[in-house]
Amino acid sequence: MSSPLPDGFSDLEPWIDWAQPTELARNHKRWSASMAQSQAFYDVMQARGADALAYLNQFPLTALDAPQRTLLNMCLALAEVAVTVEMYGEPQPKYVFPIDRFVPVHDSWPLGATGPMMGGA
Amino acid sequence: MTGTETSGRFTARYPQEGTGPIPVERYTSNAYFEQEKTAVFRRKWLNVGHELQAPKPGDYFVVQLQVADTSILVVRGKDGVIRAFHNMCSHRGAPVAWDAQGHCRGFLTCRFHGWVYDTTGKLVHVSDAGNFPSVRAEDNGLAPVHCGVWNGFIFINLAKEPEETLDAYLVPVAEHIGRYDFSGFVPAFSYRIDENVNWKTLQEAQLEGWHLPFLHEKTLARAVKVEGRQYRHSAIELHGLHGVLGSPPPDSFTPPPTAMLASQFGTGTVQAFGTKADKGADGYQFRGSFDFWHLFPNFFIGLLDGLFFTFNIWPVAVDRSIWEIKGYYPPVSNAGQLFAQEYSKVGLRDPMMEDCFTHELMAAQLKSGAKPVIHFQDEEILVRHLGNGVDQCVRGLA
Repeated sequence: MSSPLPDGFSDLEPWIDWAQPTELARNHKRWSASMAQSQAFYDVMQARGADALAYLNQFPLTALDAPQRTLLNMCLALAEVAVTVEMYGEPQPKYVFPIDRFVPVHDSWPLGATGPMMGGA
Repeated sequence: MTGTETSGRFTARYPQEGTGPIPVERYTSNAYFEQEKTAVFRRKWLNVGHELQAPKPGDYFVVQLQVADTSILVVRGKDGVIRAFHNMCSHRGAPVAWDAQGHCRGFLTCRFHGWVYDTTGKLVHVSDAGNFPSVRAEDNGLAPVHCGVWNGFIFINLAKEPEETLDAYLVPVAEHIGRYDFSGFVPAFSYRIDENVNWKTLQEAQLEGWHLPFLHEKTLARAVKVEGRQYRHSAIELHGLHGVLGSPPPDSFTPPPTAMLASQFGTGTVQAFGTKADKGADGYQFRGSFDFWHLFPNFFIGLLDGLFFTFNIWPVAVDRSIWEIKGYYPPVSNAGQLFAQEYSKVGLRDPMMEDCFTHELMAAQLKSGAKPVIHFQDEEILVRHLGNGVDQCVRGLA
């Protein structure tokens, strides 16, 4: 069985459920995590995020394989969990509109594409 | 200018805006809303999108305009020209384009019975033409809508004959916004929110920054942090029916660790929020660390150093509106740039979700009739300006 993450990043496997493919899913993960889980993931990505991005930067965004995509999605999840840790100090802040009604239309755009995908072209 | 303690400075500069209370009826009355539809939305130039949504000949997109009971098809012709039409087949009224966006090879075919139009709106094929003896193709093209493009932004006007050209409509702001270098950006994000709120209430939080230290205490407040004094915009300017807010750079700003990580790899919020950028004498003159331009009646262009974003606020009913948010960044080619963009985007998104949280609560309460009026202070003069502009249109004065 092949490794779910690129060589050199297997230490991140315990947090692999943060690697969600869309903003909607990453935000749901952020809101469903406990503060302890959020802090743990935040801490490990603060330690490893720069290495992961430097590694991924060797490849064109549109040519990433599945393990590399997983690692990228973990990095993108840091952008979400950073709000929990650095701003609200809690995973489920009150007085915030739900993302299910704040629809990220761009979630359907292909990775690395600029704007909405046009049919045909 | 930044951080002066002056009160009443904008009211003194723009005395015509007044200082009195605002009738709640403007937000709750169906009759007033019907007047807005006629006096504002069927007369003024309306932004419906950006050229980047239809970059190639044959690309099109559709904008639902419930406020005018129509759907608008925007298509880039084989000649490269952007045109707008009512999205309606001449046969029996079915939509010509059924998807929110797409691409055609020079022709759009109605899926109902196969009538075909070219990208200039001309009817080029009537199915079973022999059975339509009274239909002349030259009289039955798509119904055109006045359309113009300025700096990539696509505007339409629903009047039979617009009272002024798009250029004339934008004269008060064109020289200012036009200095911003809009080249090299691509669509990076897009949100759509369907809210039970009046379209003016929805816009009002975007027309003043004074709520930032309160509503956005945990999020954006750090980007405008002022110690021991009242929040003061770095600038507010009224330009005809339009206007701009400048957000004051913070007294001090310590970027959090993730912002520092993002700034190592791409366009981040650190650069954008920290200071007021200087683009030189010929460049865009930033009023603050970020500037919010409001183009009457329902369009915003937020200008930051390194990115810009737009809001279109579409009334559906007196108590329902659609908020469309679109962000434009430099193209992203690697993971680090994408991460920096994601962090920047989330940093803008969450405060807007906080804004949203207030909209429906306010809209519901305004309906109660408990208060006949609401109030705006000097730093909220751009909010007042929107309401005044709408009211002048309704009263036939603008």
